[in-house]
Amino acid sequence: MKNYESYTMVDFIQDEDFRDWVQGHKSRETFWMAFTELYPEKKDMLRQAEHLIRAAHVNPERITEKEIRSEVELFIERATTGHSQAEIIEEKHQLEKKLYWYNILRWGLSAAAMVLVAVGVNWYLHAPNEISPGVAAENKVGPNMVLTSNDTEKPLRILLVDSSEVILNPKSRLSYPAQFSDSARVVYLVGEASFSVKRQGQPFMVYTGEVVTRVLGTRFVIRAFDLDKKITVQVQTGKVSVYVAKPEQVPNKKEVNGLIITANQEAVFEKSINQLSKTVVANPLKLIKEKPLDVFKYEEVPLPEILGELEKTYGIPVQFDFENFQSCKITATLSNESLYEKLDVLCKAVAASYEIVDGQIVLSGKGCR
Amino acid sequence: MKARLTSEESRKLWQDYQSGDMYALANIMQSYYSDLFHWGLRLHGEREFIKDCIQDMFVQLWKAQDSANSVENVRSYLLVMLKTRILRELSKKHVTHQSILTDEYSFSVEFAADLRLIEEEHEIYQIRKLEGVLNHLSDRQKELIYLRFYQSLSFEQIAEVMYLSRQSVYNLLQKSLGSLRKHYDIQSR
Repeated sequence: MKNYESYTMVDFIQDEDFRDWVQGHKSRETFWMAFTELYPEKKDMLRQAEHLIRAAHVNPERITEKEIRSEVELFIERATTGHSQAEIIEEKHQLEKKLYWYNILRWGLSAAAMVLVAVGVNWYLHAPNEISPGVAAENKVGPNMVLTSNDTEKPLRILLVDSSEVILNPKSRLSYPAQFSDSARVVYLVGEASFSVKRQGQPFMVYTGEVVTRVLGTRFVIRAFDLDKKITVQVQTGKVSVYVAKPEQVPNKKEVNGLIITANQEAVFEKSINQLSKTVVANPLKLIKEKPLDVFKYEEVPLPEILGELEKTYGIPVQFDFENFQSCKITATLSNESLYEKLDVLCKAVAASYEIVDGQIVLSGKGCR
Repeated sequence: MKARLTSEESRKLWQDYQSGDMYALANIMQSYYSDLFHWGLRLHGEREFIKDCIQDMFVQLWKAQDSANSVENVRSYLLVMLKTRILRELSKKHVTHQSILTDEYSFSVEFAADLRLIEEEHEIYQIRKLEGVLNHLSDRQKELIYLRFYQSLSFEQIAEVMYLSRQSVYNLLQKSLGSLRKHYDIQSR
């Protein structure tokens, strides 16, 4: 217990509790409110000490969290690479550009986040184990970031603060903020992981090297593979959008160049040419599972009708000339064949061919007359 | 203002840094950055220069990680380190600058009274008057007041940061209160 009766001005100045109270940090509120009743002879001194602390207030400097973050990231880069001053200045410049880009990206995405309808989401991500050091430094660290590496032989379960679950595979690293920001939930992955994302207002985004995947829809699987040259993202059902986070291409408009990937489509990012394109997954899965029998028996059914059913079943748009193929009647039984096998059967029957263009199936042929 | 690290939290981080955890040091940098930046600008008003000094200081700390000392108070330790670095860099930059161990270095701070929740005219008048007096104190006196109230240091830590003995700090405070008393009825005991 402090001896307040003999308290001097200097004691007040030294007293943490008292200063906190004056500065509005609320510690021991009731005590100091009652102080003058307990020690009436100290009333004037208490008031003077309070005035002094108030008068000695200094405004904070204007420095943004972003500036601080970029300084800390620069430190980590210097500490890990041991680069020289000149290199650092150049790197710092690049870093600022990256952060600028990153912020534009976030701005754009949070603006678009209104339409988010994610429920329970499962996906796989499999990104290159090696990404360039600059990108790695940007991706791994930030304010209050938690870095988890799985150096064990078994998958590791991580529960994020928003209750989303991540299964991190061996030799993989995930970094994520201890607290998600209000605008977006952003995590960084190197390696492979599966995610179950909790439905929430803010979008959920995964950064893998130069590619950003953002959850837009409901249920899907993403894979990114080919360790060296490619990153690919595949969707089972629902929607994601995929962006290239390339610092050199800072756009002066708010529009972000990206792809919306829906069921059974995949985005391919070719690192060497820096290009993102859309195609169809190698083995499309049926979206509709509730059919009692997976056997489709067709007797004299117009081809467009079958193609329409396939489109619905796999969620992949099928383009064809309706007039041309309307008169083609198909009699066939389709069951466990893959989508491509089915297409082969159908094409053979009507002497047509198909190709995959921009994530869609395009059927062409003379048709049946 | 966001919550500062408690001294236990920062001591723990410091120990982690000593045992080779770079992220612990980065965390310390992150947590103390705005206070260090504020402190640096009081000694020299060039933002980029102060940022460089803070940056170099942490890189230096990391390089010297093997020989890092145990630290009683992380905040005051960092404030001393930064001050020494800034004054040394300044003396390199300007040949005319005094040696760092003299008390010739400048310290600029603008006290701006906190009048939140004060309604009485009379009280506002008194606080404003005190603010004026504080702004006319010597650089060393202002530094003391600043370190106590803005950086929340104890007198012992202030002595360390100001390169003074504890007794000198106490004397300096008494002298400051004396100046205040001339213009405003401050009781000393």
